Amino acid sequence: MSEVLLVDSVLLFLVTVCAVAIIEVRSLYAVAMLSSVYSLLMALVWTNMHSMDVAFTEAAVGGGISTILLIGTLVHTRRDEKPAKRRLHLPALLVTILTGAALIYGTFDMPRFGDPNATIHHYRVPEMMSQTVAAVSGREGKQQPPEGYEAPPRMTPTAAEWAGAIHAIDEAEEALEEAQHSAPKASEGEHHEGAEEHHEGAHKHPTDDFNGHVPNSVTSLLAAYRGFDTMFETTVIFTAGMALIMLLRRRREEGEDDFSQRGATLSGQVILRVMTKMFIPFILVFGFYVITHGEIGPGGGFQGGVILATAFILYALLYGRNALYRIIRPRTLEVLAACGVLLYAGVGVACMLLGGNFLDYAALNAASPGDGEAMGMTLVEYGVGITVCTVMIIIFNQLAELPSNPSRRRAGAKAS
Amino acid sequence: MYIATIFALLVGAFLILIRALKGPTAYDRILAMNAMGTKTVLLVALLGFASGRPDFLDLAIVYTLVSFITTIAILKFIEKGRLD
Repeated sequence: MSEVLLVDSVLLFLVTVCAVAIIEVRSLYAVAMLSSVYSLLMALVWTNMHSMDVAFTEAAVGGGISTILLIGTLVHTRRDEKPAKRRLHLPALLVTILTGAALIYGTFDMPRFGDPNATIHHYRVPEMMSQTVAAVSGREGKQQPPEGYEAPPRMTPTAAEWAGAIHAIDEAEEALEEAQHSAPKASEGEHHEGAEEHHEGAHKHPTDDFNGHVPNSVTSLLAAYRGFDTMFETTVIFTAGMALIMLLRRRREEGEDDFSQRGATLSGQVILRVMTKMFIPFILVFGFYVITHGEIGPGGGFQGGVILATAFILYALLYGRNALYRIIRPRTLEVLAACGVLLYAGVGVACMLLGGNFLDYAALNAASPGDGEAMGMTLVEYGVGITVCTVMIIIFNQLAELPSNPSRRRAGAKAS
Repeated sequence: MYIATIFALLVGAFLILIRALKGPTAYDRILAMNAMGTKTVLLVALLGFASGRPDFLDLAIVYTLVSFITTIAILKFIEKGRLD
Protein backbone atom coordinates (compact mmCIF):
# COMPACT_ATOMS: atom_id res chain seq x y z
CA MET A 1 0.00 0.00 0.00
CA SER A 2 1.48 3.31 -1.01
CA GLU A 3 1.83 6.13 1.47
CA VAL A 4 -0.52 8.32 -0.50
CA LEU A 5 -3.26 5.74 -0.19
CA LEU A 6 -2.52 5.21 3.48
CA VAL A 7 -2.71 8.92 4.26
CA ASP A 8 -5.87 9.10 2.18
CA SER A 9 -7.52 6.31 4.15
CA VAL A 10 -6.76 7.95 7.48
CA LEU A 11 -8.07 11.30 6.18
CA LEU A 12 -11.20 9.68 4.79
CA PHE A 13 -11.88 8.11 8.18
CA LEU A 14 -11.50 11.48 9.91
CA VAL A 15 -13.73 13.17 7.33
CA THR A 16 -16.44 10.54 7.79
CA VAL A 17 -16.37 10.89 11.55
CA CYS A 18 -16.64 14.65 11.15
CA ALA A 19 -19.55 14.44 8.70
CA VAL A 20 -21.54 12.09 10.94
CA ALA A 21 -20.91 14.39 13.88
CA ILE A 22 -22.20 17.40 11.91
CA ILE A 23 -25.48 15.57 11.35
CA GLU A 24 -25.76 14.42 14.95
CA VAL A 25 -24.80 17.53 16.92
CA ARG A 26 -27.72 19.78 17.92
CA SER A 27 -25.85 22.95 18.78
CA LEU A 28 -25.49 25.04 15.64
CA TYR A 29 -22.33 26.66 17.01
CA ALA A 30 -20.73 23.26 17.12
CA VAL A 31 -21.97 22.53 13.59
CA ALA A 32 -20.33 25.70 12.26
CA MET A 33 -17.04 24.82 13.89
CA LEU A 34 -17.15 21.18 12.86
CA SER A 35 -17.84 22.20 9.27
CA SER A 36 -14.69 24.30 9.41
CA VAL A 37 -12.74 21.26 10.64
CA TYR A 38 -14.39 19.22 7.88
CA SER A 39 -13.24 21.59 5.18
CA LEU A 40 -9.70 21.64 6.61
CA LEU A 41 -9.63 17.85 6.35
CA MET A 42 -11.05 17.91 2.82
CA ALA A 43 -8.36 20.37 1.76
CA LEU A 44 -5.81 17.87 3.03
CA VAL A 45 -7.44 15.15 0.93
CA TRP A 46 -7.18 17.36 -2.18
CA THR A 47 -3.59 18.26 -1.38
CA ASN A 48 -2.75 14.59 -0.99
CA MET A 49 -4.20 13.96 -4.44
CA HIS A 50 -2.16 16.86 -5.86
CA SER A 51 -5.23 18.71 -7.09
CA MET A 52 -3.88 22.03 -5.97
CA ASP A 53 -6.52 24.31 -7.45
CA VAL A 54 -9.32 22.50 -5.65
CA ALA A 55 -7.33 22.50 -2.42
CA PHE A 56 -6.80 26.23 -2.85
CA THR A 57 -10.51 26.86 -3.20
CA GLU A 58 -11.27 24.68 -0.23
CA ALA A 59 -8.66 26.54 1.80
CA ALA A 60 -9.82 30.02 0.86
CA VAL A 61 -13.56 29.36 0.96
CA GLY A 62 -13.95 26.54 3.46
CA GLY A 63 -11.22 27.49 5.88
CA GLY A 64 -11.98 31.16 5.98
CA ILE A 65 -15.15 32.66 4.73
CA SER A 66 -17.80 29.95 4.84
CA THR A 67 -17.59 29.48 8.60
CA ILE A 68 -17.87 33.24 9.10
CA LEU A 69 -20.97 33.28 6.89
CA LEU A 70 -22.44 30.32 8.81
CA ILE A 71 -21.93 32.25 12.04
CA GLY A 72 -23.53 35.23 10.30
CA THR A 73 -26.57 33.08 9.64
CA LEU A 74 -26.75 32.30 13.35
CA VAL A 75 -27.33 36.03 13.93
CA HIS A 76 -30.67 35.58 12.20
CA THR A 77 -31.66 32.17 13.55
CA ARG A 78 -31.69 30.32 16.85
CA ARG A 79 -28.52 28.80 18.21
CA ASP A 80 -29.84 25.27 18.59
CA GLU A 81 -31.46 22.96 16.15
CA LYS A 82 -35.10 22.09 16.87
CA PRO A 83 -35.27 18.67 18.50
CA ALA A 84 -36.68 16.34 15.90
CA LYS A 85 -38.64 13.20 16.57
CA ARG A 86 -36.31 10.29 16.17
CA ARG A 87 -37.68 7.39 14.34
CA LEU A 88 -36.50 5.17 11.59
CA HIS A 89 -37.93 6.11 8.20
CA LEU A 90 -37.61 2.85 6.34
CA PRO A 91 -38.22 4.00 2.71
CA ALA A 92 -35.75 6.86 3.11
CA LEU A 93 -33.12 4.48 4.46
CA LEU A 94 -33.74 2.11 1.58
CA VAL A 95 -33.44 4.86 -1.04
CA THR A 96 -30.21 6.11 0.55
CA ILE A 97 -28.67 2.65 0.61
CA LEU A 98 -29.70 1.97 -2.98
CA THR A 99 -28.31 5.31 -4.22
CA GLY A 100 -25.09 4.71 -2.35
CA ALA A 101 -24.76 1.22 -3.78
CA ALA A 102 -25.42 2.51 -7.31
CA LEU A 103 -22.77 5.20 -6.90
CA ILE A 104 -20.21 2.73 -5.61
CA TYR A 105 -21.09 0.38 -8.45
CA GLY A 106 -20.50 3.27 -10.85
CA THR A 107 -16.99 3.84 -9.50
CA PHE A 108 -15.97 0.33 -10.61
CA ASP A 109 -15.90 1.63 -14.17
CA MET A 110 -13.59 4.48 -13.29
CA PRO A 111 -9.85 4.08 -13.72
CA ARG A 112 -7.87 3.42 -10.57
CA PHE A 113 -6.52 6.48 -8.77
CA GLY A 114 -3.23 7.50 -10.39
CA ASP A 115 -3.58 4.98 -13.22
CA PRO A 116 -1.24 6.07 -16.03
CA ASN A 117 -3.45 4.29 -18.57
CA ALA A 118 -6.55 6.30 -17.69
CA THR A 119 -8.37 7.81 -20.66
CA ILE A 120 -7.66 11.34 -19.58
CA HIS A 121 -3.92 10.82 -19.97
CA HIS A 122 -4.32 9.68 -23.57
CA TYR A 123 -7.23 11.54 -25.04
CA ARG A 124 -6.99 15.31 -24.76
CA VAL A 125 -4.42 16.17 -22.14
CA PRO A 126 -1.26 15.19 -24.08
CA GLU A 127 -2.54 17.24 -26.98
CA MET A 128 -2.99 20.15 -24.69
CA MET A 129 0.43 19.69 -23.15
CA SER A 130 2.14 19.44 -26.50
CA GLN A 131 0.29 22.38 -27.95
CA THR A 132 2.87 24.66 -29.33
CA VAL A 133 2.74 28.29 -30.24
CA ALA A 134 5.85 27.77 -32.31
CA ALA A 135 4.02 28.02 -35.60
CA VAL A 136 2.82 31.46 -34.69
CA SER A 137 5.35 33.03 -32.39
CA GLY A 138 8.45 30.98 -33.07
CA ARG A 139 8.53 29.72 -29.47
CA GLU A 140 8.48 26.30 -27.90
CA GLY A 141 5.34 24.87 -26.36
CA LYS A 142 4.86 25.18 -22.65
CA GLN A 143 5.45 21.60 -21.53
CA GLN A 144 6.93 18.38 -22.79
CA PRO A 145 4.30 15.85 -23.85
CA PRO A 146 4.60 12.34 -22.39
CA GLU A 147 7.14 10.06 -24.01
CA GLY A 148 6.02 8.20 -27.09
CA TYR A 149 3.27 10.67 -27.81
CA GLU A 150 2.71 11.64 -31.41
CA ALA A 151 0.73 14.76 -32.08
CA PRO A 152 -2.16 14.42 -34.53
CA PRO A 153 -1.68 16.12 -37.93
CA ARG A 154 -3.77 19.15 -37.09
CA MET A 155 -1.39 19.97 -34.24
CA THR A 156 1.80 19.89 -36.26
CA PRO A 157 2.14 22.63 -38.84
CA THR A 158 3.57 21.75 -42.23
CA ALA A 159 6.87 23.16 -43.38
CA ALA A 160 5.12 25.70 -45.61
CA GLU A 161 2.97 26.89 -42.72
CA TRP A 162 6.05 27.22 -40.53
CA ALA A 163 7.90 29.28 -43.05
CA GLY A 164 4.87 31.46 -43.77
CA ALA A 165 4.13 32.08 -40.13
CA ILE A 166 7.70 32.93 -39.20
CA HIS A 167 7.96 35.22 -42.17
CA ALA A 168 4.77 36.95 -41.14
CA ILE A 169 6.09 37.44 -37.62
CA ASP A 170 9.31 38.94 -38.86
CA GLU A 171 7.38 41.33 -41.03
CA ALA A 172 5.01 42.23 -38.20
CA GLU A 173 7.93 42.95 -35.90
CA GLU A 174 9.60 45.04 -38.54
CA ALA A 175 6.42 46.98 -39.11
CA LEU A 176 6.11 47.50 -35.37
CA GLU A 177 9.63 48.83 -35.13
CA GLU A 178 9.04 51.05 -38.10
CA ALA A 179 5.87 52.42 -36.59
CA GLN A 180 7.67 53.09 -33.30
CA HIS A 181 10.40 54.84 -35.18
CA SER A 182 8.22 57.05 -37.29
CA ALA A 183 5.71 57.97 -34.62
CA PRO A 184 7.30 57.61 -31.18
CA LYS A 185 4.52 59.53 -29.46
CA ALA A 186 1.69 57.42 -30.82
CA SER A 187 -0.11 55.28 -28.25
CA GLU A 188 0.61 51.60 -27.93
CA GLY A 189 -2.79 50.48 -29.10
CA GLU A 190 -2.27 52.19 -32.44
CA HIS A 191 0.98 50.31 -32.95
CA HIS A 192 -0.73 47.00 -32.61
CA GLU A 193 -3.50 48.02 -34.92
CA GLY A 194 -1.01 49.16 -37.52
CA ALA A 195 0.98 45.94 -37.31
CA GLU A 196 -2.16 43.90 -37.59
CA GLU A 197 -3.53 45.67 -40.61
CA HIS A 198 -0.37 44.93 -42.47
CA HIS A 199 -0.20 41.26 -41.65
CA GLU A 200 -3.47 39.58 -41.03
CA GLY A 201 -1.92 36.23 -41.76
CA ALA A 202 0.19 36.36 -38.61
CA HIS A 203 -2.74 35.39 -36.41
CA LYS A 204 -3.00 31.67 -36.88
CA HIS A 205 -3.18 28.88 -34.39
CA PRO A 206 -4.39 25.29 -34.51
CA THR A 207 -8.03 25.00 -35.48
CA ASP A 208 -9.02 22.78 -32.58
CA ASP A 209 -7.38 24.99 -30.01
CA PHE A 210 -7.58 24.75 -26.26
CA ASN A 211 -5.99 28.12 -25.71
CA GLY A 212 -3.70 25.99 -23.62
CA HIS A 213 -0.46 27.89 -23.80
CA VAL A 214 -0.29 29.08 -20.21
CA PRO A 215 1.58 26.87 -17.74
CA ASN A 216 -1.35 26.07 -15.44
CA SER A 217 -3.59 23.74 -17.43
CA VAL A 218 -6.44 24.13 -14.94
CA THR A 219 -6.61 27.85 -15.53
CA SER A 220 -6.47 27.46 -19.30
CA LEU A 221 -9.33 24.96 -19.11
CA LEU A 222 -11.39 27.16 -16.82
CA ALA A 223 -10.77 30.47 -18.49
CA ALA A 224 -10.50 29.49 -22.13
CA TYR A 225 -11.71 25.98 -22.96
CA ARG A 226 -14.82 26.44 -20.85
CA GLY A 227 -14.65 30.20 -20.57
CA PHE A 228 -18.40 30.59 -21.05
CA ASP A 229 -19.06 28.40 -18.01
CA THR A 230 -16.73 30.43 -15.88
CA MET A 231 -18.29 33.67 -17.07
CA PHE A 232 -21.73 32.50 -16.09
CA GLU A 233 -20.41 31.15 -12.79
CA THR A 234 -19.28 34.68 -12.08
CA THR A 235 -22.73 35.88 -13.05
CA VAL A 236 -24.26 33.37 -10.64
CA ILE A 237 -22.12 34.75 -7.81
CA PHE A 238 -23.17 38.27 -8.76
CA THR A 239 -26.83 37.19 -8.78
CA ALA A 240 -26.40 35.58 -5.36
CA GLY A 241 -25.12 38.84 -3.95
CA MET A 242 -28.00 40.81 -5.45
CA ALA A 243 -30.54 38.25 -4.20
CA LEU A 244 -29.16 38.49 -0.70
CA ILE A 245 -29.45 42.27 -0.79
CA MET A 246 -33.07 41.98 -1.86
CA LEU A 247 -33.89 39.37 0.78
CA LEU A 248 -32.04 40.69 3.80
CA ARG A 249 -31.63 44.43 3.43
CA ARG A 250 -33.45 46.17 6.19
CA ARG A 251 -35.88 48.76 5.00
CA ARG A 252 -34.33 52.15 5.59
CA GLU A 253 -36.52 54.49 7.56
CA GLU A 254 -36.70 58.16 6.80
CA GLY A 255 -33.44 60.02 7.21
CA GLU A 256 -31.64 56.78 7.94
CA ASP A 257 -28.43 55.89 6.18
CA ASP A 258 -26.12 52.90 6.14
CA PHE A 259 -24.35 54.04 9.28
CA SER A 260 -27.40 53.91 11.56
CA GLN A 261 -26.57 50.55 13.11
CA ARG A 262 -23.81 50.96 15.61
CA GLY A 263 -21.82 47.77 15.34
CA ALA A 264 -19.84 46.26 18.19
CA THR A 265 -16.11 46.78 17.84
CA LEU A 266 -13.26 44.80 19.29
CA SER A 267 -10.88 47.75 19.26
CA GLY A 268 -10.39 47.37 23.03
CA GLN A 269 -8.45 44.18 22.39
CA VAL A 270 -4.93 45.51 21.96
CA ILE A 271 -3.26 42.28 20.87
CA LEU A 272 -5.94 41.55 18.29
CA ARG A 273 -5.86 45.09 16.98
CA VAL A 274 -2.11 45.18 16.53
CA MET A 275 -1.87 41.72 15.03
CA THR A 276 -4.69 42.42 12.60
CA LYS A 277 -3.11 45.63 11.43
CA MET A 278 0.02 43.65 10.73
CA PHE A 279 -1.80 40.88 8.94
CA ILE A 280 -4.20 42.78 6.67
CA PRO A 281 -1.58 44.09 4.23
CA PHE A 282 -0.14 40.60 3.82
CA ILE A 283 -3.55 39.11 3.19
CA LEU A 284 -4.26 41.75 0.54
CA VAL A 285 -0.91 41.27 -1.18
CA PHE A 286 -1.35 37.52 -1.17
CA GLY A 287 -4.85 37.85 -2.60
CA PHE A 288 -3.57 39.93 -5.50
CA TYR A 289 -0.71 37.48 -5.97
CA VAL A 290 -3.13 34.57 -6.21
CA ILE A 291 -5.26 36.37 -8.80
CA THR A 292 -2.35 37.58 -10.90
CA HIS A 293 -0.45 34.32 -10.64
CA GLY A 294 -3.52 32.31 -11.62
CA GLU A 295 -2.34 31.26 -15.05
CA ILE A 296 1.08 30.17 -13.77
CA GLY A 297 0.45 28.48 -10.42
CA PRO A 298 -2.51 27.20 -8.46
CA GLY A 299 -5.22 29.68 -7.67
CA GLY A 300 -7.09 32.26 -9.66
CA GLY A 301 -9.86 34.80 -9.50
CA PHE A 302 -12.22 32.87 -7.26
CA GLN A 303 -9.65 32.00 -4.63
CA GLY A 304 -7.90 35.35 -4.73
CA GLY A 305 -11.21 37.22 -4.54
CA VAL A 306 -12.20 35.31 -1.44
CA ILE A 307 -8.82 35.97 0.18
CA LEU A 308 -9.19 39.70 -0.54
CA ALA A 309 -12.70 39.68 0.91
CA THR A 310 -11.38 37.98 4.04
CA ALA A 311 -9.11 40.95 4.71
CA PHE A 312 -12.06 43.37 4.52
CA ILE A 313 -14.20 41.13 6.72
CA LEU A 314 -11.40 40.93 9.28
CA TYR A 315 -11.34 44.73 9.35
CA ALA A 316 -15.11 44.83 9.81
CA LEU A 317 -14.91 42.29 12.63
CA LEU A 318 -12.34 44.35 14.48
CA TYR A 319 -13.57 47.90 13.93
CA GLY A 320 -17.25 47.41 13.14
CA ARG A 321 -19.13 47.53 9.89
CA ASN A 322 -19.35 51.33 9.95
CA ALA A 323 -15.57 51.56 9.75
CA LEU A 324 -15.65 49.31 6.70
CA TYR A 325 -18.34 51.48 5.13
CA ARG A 326 -16.09 54.48 5.56
CA ILE A 327 -13.51 52.70 3.37
CA ILE A 328 -15.94 51.29 0.81
CA ARG A 329 -19.47 52.62 0.51
CA PRO A 330 -22.07 49.86 0.02
CA ARG A 331 -23.01 51.47 -3.29
CA THR A 332 -19.41 51.23 -4.49
CA LEU A 333 -19.41 47.55 -3.62
CA GLU A 334 -22.53 46.93 -5.68
CA VAL A 335 -21.16 48.82 -8.66
CA LEU A 336 -17.83 46.98 -8.44
CA ALA A 337 -19.58 43.62 -8.34
CA ALA A 338 -21.23 44.44 -11.64
CA CYS A 339 -17.96 45.81 -13.04
CA GLY A 340 -16.22 42.47 -12.51
CA VAL A 341 -18.72 40.63 -14.69
CA LEU A 342 -18.53 43.48 -17.18
CA LEU A 343 -14.74 43.18 -17.35
CA TYR A 344 -15.01 39.46 -18.09
CA ALA A 345 -17.57 39.93 -20.84
CA GLY A 346 -15.67 43.00 -22.07
CA VAL A 347 -12.52 40.96 -22.65
CA GLY A 348 -14.64 38.54 -24.67
CA VAL A 349 -16.04 41.37 -26.80
CA ALA A 350 -12.55 42.84 -27.22
CA CYS A 351 -11.42 39.48 -28.63
CA MET A 352 -14.30 39.62 -31.10
CA LEU A 353 -13.42 43.15 -32.15
CA LEU A 354 -9.83 42.08 -32.74
CA GLY A 355 -10.95 39.35 -35.08
CA GLY A 356 -11.18 36.25 -32.89
CA ASN A 357 -14.10 34.42 -31.36
CA PHE A 358 -15.74 35.46 -28.11
CA LEU A 359 -13.15 34.83 -25.34
CA ASP A 360 -10.55 33.67 -27.85
CA TYR A 361 -7.72 35.38 -25.99
CA ALA A 362 -5.11 34.59 -28.62
CA ALA A 363 -6.60 37.41 -30.69
CA LEU A 364 -5.50 39.96 -28.11
CA ASN A 365 -1.89 39.77 -29.22
CA ALA A 366 -1.52 38.94 -32.87
CA ALA A 367 2.26 38.63 -32.79
CA SER A 368 2.31 36.17 -29.90
CA PRO A 369 -0.95 34.33 -29.14
CA GLY A 370 0.56 32.77 -26.02
CA ASP A 371 1.13 36.18 -24.50
CA GLY A 372 -2.31 37.28 -25.64
CA GLU A 373 -3.79 34.33 -23.80
CA ALA A 374 -1.84 35.06 -20.65
CA MET A 375 -3.00 38.67 -20.75
CA GLY A 376 -6.61 37.79 -21.49
CA MET A 377 -6.70 35.24 -18.71
CA THR A 378 -5.19 37.64 -16.21
CA LEU A 379 -7.80 40.26 -17.11
CA VAL A 380 -10.58 37.71 -16.86
CA GLU A 381 -9.26 36.49 -13.50
CA TYR A 382 -9.32 40.06 -12.25
CA GLY A 383 -12.94 40.33 -13.38
CA VAL A 384 -13.80 37.19 -11.46
CA GLY A 385 -11.75 38.34 -8.47
CA ILE A 386 -13.45 41.75 -8.26
CA THR A 387 -16.93 40.21 -8.41
CA VAL A 388 -16.18 37.46 -5.92
CA CYS A 389 -14.47 39.80 -3.48
CA THR A 390 -17.22 42.43 -3.49
CA VAL A 391 -20.06 39.89 -3.41
CA MET A 392 -18.48 38.16 -0.40
CA ILE A 393 -18.27 41.49 1.42
CA ILE A 394 -21.88 42.26 0.44
CA ILE A 395 -23.02 38.88 1.77
CA PHE A 396 -21.15 39.45 5.02
CA ASN A 397 -22.65 42.93 5.39
CA GLN A 398 -26.15 41.68 4.76
CA LEU A 399 -25.80 38.79 7.19
CA ALA A 400 -24.26 40.95 9.89
CA GLU A 401 -26.98 43.59 9.61
CA LEU A 402 -29.64 43.01 12.22
CA PRO A 403 -33.14 42.61 10.76
CA SER A 404 -34.43 45.79 12.35
CA ASN A 405 -32.87 48.63 14.20
CA PRO A 406 -33.27 47.88 17.92
CA SER A 407 -32.66 51.39 19.19
CA ARG A 408 -35.16 52.93 16.79
CA ARG A 409 -37.72 50.27 17.49
CA ARG A 410 -37.40 50.94 21.19
CA ALA A 411 -37.72 54.66 20.61
CA GLY A 412 -40.81 54.08 18.48
CA ALA A 413 -42.38 51.89 21.16
CA LYS A 414 -41.80 54.57 23.78
CA ALA A 415 -43.34 57.23 21.60
CA SER A 416 -46.51 55.20 21.10
CA MET B 1 11.12 10.73 7.63
CA TYR B 2 8.41 12.93 6.12
CA ILE B 3 6.00 10.01 6.20
CA ALA B 4 6.61 9.33 9.88
CA THR B 5 5.98 13.00 10.67
CA ILE B 6 2.82 12.99 8.59
CA PHE B 7 1.44 10.07 10.51
CA ALA B 8 2.39 11.60 13.83
CA LEU B 9 0.45 14.72 12.80
CA LEU B 10 -2.51 12.62 11.67
CA VAL B 11 -2.64 10.99 15.11
CA GLY B 12 -2.67 14.49 16.54
CA ALA B 13 -5.47 15.45 14.18
CA PHE B 14 -7.46 12.45 15.40
CA LEU B 15 -7.05 13.49 19.02
CA ILE B 16 -8.11 17.03 18.14
CA LEU B 17 -11.17 15.71 16.36
CA ILE B 18 -12.16 13.80 19.51
CA ARG B 19 -11.93 17.05 21.48
CA ALA B 20 -13.98 18.86 18.84
CA LEU B 21 -16.68 16.20 18.97
CA LYS B 22 -16.88 15.85 22.74
CA GLY B 23 -16.86 19.56 23.52
CA PRO B 24 -18.19 19.99 26.15
CA THR B 25 -18.09 23.80 25.99
CA ALA B 26 -17.92 25.94 22.86
CA TYR B 27 -14.45 27.08 23.88
CA ASP B 28 -13.08 23.53 23.70
CA ARG B 29 -14.36 23.32 20.15
CA ILE B 30 -12.88 26.67 19.22
CA LEU B 31 -9.51 25.57 20.52
CA ALA B 32 -9.81 22.29 18.65
CA MET B 33 -10.69 24.13 15.44
CA ASN B 34 -7.75 26.47 15.84
CA ALA B 35 -5.36 23.60 16.52
CA MET B 36 -6.72 21.76 13.50
CA GLY B 37 -5.91 24.80 11.38
CA THR B 38 -2.30 24.72 12.56
CA LYS B 39 -2.12 20.97 11.91
CA THR B 40 -3.42 21.51 8.40
CA VAL B 41 -0.76 24.10 7.64
CA LEU B 42 1.94 21.71 8.78
CA LEU B 43 0.44 18.73 6.97
CA VAL B 44 0.09 20.61 3.69
CA ALA B 45 3.71 21.73 3.88
CA LEU B 46 4.83 18.20 4.72
CA LEU B 47 2.79 16.59 1.96
CA GLY B 48 4.36 19.05 -0.44
CA PHE B 49 7.90 18.24 0.59
CA ALA B 50 7.24 14.51 0.82
CA SER B 51 6.04 14.43 -2.78
CA GLY B 52 8.70 16.81 -4.06
CA ARG B 53 6.45 19.75 -4.79
CA PRO B 54 7.40 22.55 -2.42
CA ASP B 55 5.06 24.92 -4.27
CA PHE B 56 2.36 23.50 -2.02
CA LEU B 57 3.62 26.09 0.44
CA ASP B 58 1.32 28.61 -1.28
CA LEU B 59 -1.58 26.68 0.12
CA ALA B 60 -0.06 26.57 3.59
CA ILE B 61 0.30 30.36 3.46
CA VAL B 62 -3.39 30.73 2.62
CA TYR B 63 -4.27 28.80 5.73
CA THR B 64 -1.98 30.79 7.99
CA LEU B 65 -3.46 34.03 6.67
CA VAL B 66 -7.09 33.02 6.64
CA SER B 67 -7.93 30.41 9.25
CA PHE B 68 -7.50 32.53 12.38
CA ILE B 69 -10.17 34.96 11.21
CA THR B 70 -12.82 32.30 11.75
CA THR B 71 -11.78 32.04 15.37
CA ILE B 72 -12.06 35.80 15.79
CA ALA B 73 -15.52 35.80 14.19
CA ILE B 74 -16.82 33.04 16.48
CA LEU B 75 -15.38 34.60 19.61
CA LYS B 76 -16.84 37.97 18.70
CA PHE B 77 -20.24 36.44 18.11
CA ILE B 78 -20.12 34.67 21.48
CA GLU B 79 -19.10 37.84 23.28
CA LYS B 80 -21.24 40.44 21.53
CA GLY B 81 -24.01 38.37 19.98
CA ARG B 82 -23.47 39.99 16.59
CA LEU B 83 -20.88 40.06 13.86
CA ASP B 84 -20.51 43.64 12.72
